[in-house]
Amino acid sequence: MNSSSDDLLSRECDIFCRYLTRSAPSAYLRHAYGRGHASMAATCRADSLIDRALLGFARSGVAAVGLADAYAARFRRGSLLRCKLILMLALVEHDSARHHAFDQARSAPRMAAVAMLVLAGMAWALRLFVAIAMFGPVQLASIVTDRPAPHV
Amino acid sequence: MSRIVVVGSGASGVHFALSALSNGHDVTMLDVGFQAPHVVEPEASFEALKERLDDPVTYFLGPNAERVVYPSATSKHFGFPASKDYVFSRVPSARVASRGFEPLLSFARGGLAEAWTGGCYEFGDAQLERFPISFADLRPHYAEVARRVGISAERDDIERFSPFTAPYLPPLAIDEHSRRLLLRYGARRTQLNAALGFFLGRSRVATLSLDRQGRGACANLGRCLWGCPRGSLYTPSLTLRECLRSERFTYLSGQFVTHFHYDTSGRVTSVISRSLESGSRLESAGDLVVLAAGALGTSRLYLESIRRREGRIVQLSGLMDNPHAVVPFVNWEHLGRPVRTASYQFHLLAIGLAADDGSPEGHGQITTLRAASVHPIVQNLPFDLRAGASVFRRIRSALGVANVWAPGNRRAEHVVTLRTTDTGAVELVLDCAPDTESVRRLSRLAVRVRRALSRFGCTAPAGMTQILPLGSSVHYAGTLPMTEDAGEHTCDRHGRVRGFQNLIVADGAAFPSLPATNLTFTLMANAARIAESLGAA
Repeated sequence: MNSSSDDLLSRECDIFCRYLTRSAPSAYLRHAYGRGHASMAATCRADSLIDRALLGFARSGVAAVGLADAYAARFRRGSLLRCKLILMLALVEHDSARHHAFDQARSAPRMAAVAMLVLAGMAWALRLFVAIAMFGPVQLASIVTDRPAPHV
Repeated sequence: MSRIVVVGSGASGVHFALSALSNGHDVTMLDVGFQAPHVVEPEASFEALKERLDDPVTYFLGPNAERVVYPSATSKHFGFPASKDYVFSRVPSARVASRGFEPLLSFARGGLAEAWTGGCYEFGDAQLERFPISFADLRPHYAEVARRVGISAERDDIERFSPFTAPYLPPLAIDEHSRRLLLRYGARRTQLNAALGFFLGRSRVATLSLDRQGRGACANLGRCLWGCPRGSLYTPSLTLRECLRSERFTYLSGQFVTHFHYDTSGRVTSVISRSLESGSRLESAGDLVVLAAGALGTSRLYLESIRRREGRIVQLSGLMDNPHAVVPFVNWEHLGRPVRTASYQFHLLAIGLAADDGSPEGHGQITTLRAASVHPIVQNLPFDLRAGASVFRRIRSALGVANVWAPGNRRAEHVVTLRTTDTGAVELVLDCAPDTESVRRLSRLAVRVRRALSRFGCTAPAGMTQILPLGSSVHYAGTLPMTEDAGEHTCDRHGRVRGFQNLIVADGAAFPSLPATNLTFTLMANAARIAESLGAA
């Protein structure tokens, strides 16, 4: 791997970790992400225009990941972006400094929990709405450009 | 004194061996025997382990995070951890091709039950209807195996589906979510029994609720899936250790058994194996040869031996597995409550589903979510991962899953045979035609479970119910069945293969039918029964 791809990997590790945990990754997590990324590459690929667009956009910042992920979660579940985010989620849930955020339930009175769920659902719906407006046309273009050429 | 050669160290093999040893026989066990990794931090809980290990990611996900569960067409809500890799490691020459069946094979010391969830249920006469033996024949062996294994259980409505006769230990401590489900069932019991044929009780599990025989009682560490560090959750390798204490027991590991030799009179003269380390060939002779390599492994050995001796490729029909559905649910009553990951991780409730005539029709087990890998679950929620993780934390205490099984369907179209590949290698072929009848029956059972859960105030979205492919239950059986009537490729009631003088099948291959209820307890009891039928040496 060359230094520019190392830099890219390090940058996306930083963005994805901040996206999922609101904090920067430790050196341990960066190293684990690098190892996991190499084995993940065999499972997940970004063959299509839409998958490349989602990943490229997500690499631009934490807010962008939220939009790209909202779209991928609904329409591109097996995309490379989604795989990378799942890898990061798997790493942080097993990290000694961060696992509490995943292992411990947020306890609250039932009605408060329902209200929080409704709010979270509305925020997600809003992100999804914006994401569809952004990536829907790209996916349509992807269907055209990724279509295999007919045999002559 | 008889010299017995046993192939395989799984649940059937070790209990056959222990009974044979206690009757004075000499036993040689041939096994590949991949071993479990060393136990780390035996007293640490699931969460403490993440904090104490220098490299928790490698322990939980593997050195290159290869155990991360990525999205796929058949996404599961969990993945086997790296610590269980030894259970599913393959021997390269044991090739398998399959259609309509997704097999799991194990060459581990202790076999597939090294990765089980411990469900133990006696088969009653209704479930043994097609067996040439009755519950009375098995009853003393259930008792003996229960003494060896240690099974925690409670007498309740599940007794209607599974006799309660063995010497059981008190039930495991129940978690708050399971307790509430049981209370709700109690309040609606009559209605649920009558309208849905739905019965609920405590699951019977091979996990100690009391210290015994050098094994500690379950300490609620929440590490069941990763391998119980205290030996509270029984695995067959524990019985293998007991066998190893006998000086009449010889355990040859690292041996991949390829076939057995037999003469024209049907007498098996020796078993041939190959060392995985050196490649050298070993010939083991005995007065009696016992196949206990699991239904698929035993079938392979049987077919390959005939192919080598007679030059013909035989087809064994009737391969079975329990059709299996997974029904995730949310219990709104439990929303917002705290979760203790330091608790027993597997199922604590069992479901019985009765047919209209009251006979057992389906079986299930409910696992409420406690310690778990989060990422396989969160990725299946319909949100982006950050929102999904947030929602998951709020609903975690309310989540659960019901696993539902239907009886295996014995069909002539489900065939096990051999095939020679282009390269000259011989592979096991599992060919199962689509079984729409079983899928329909399973779907109906899953609907009944969903309806029952909705009467508990739970929501089990139909779209999240998964019908798993055949082979997923890993309850393989039926290829060399015990029958009353003589027939080719069958056994008698003592597991003796017809046409052979001294060949016994002691595992699931000899089951002529497959009830919905978990078969492992019966596998062990039946193996002990067959060994006892040999009498004292």
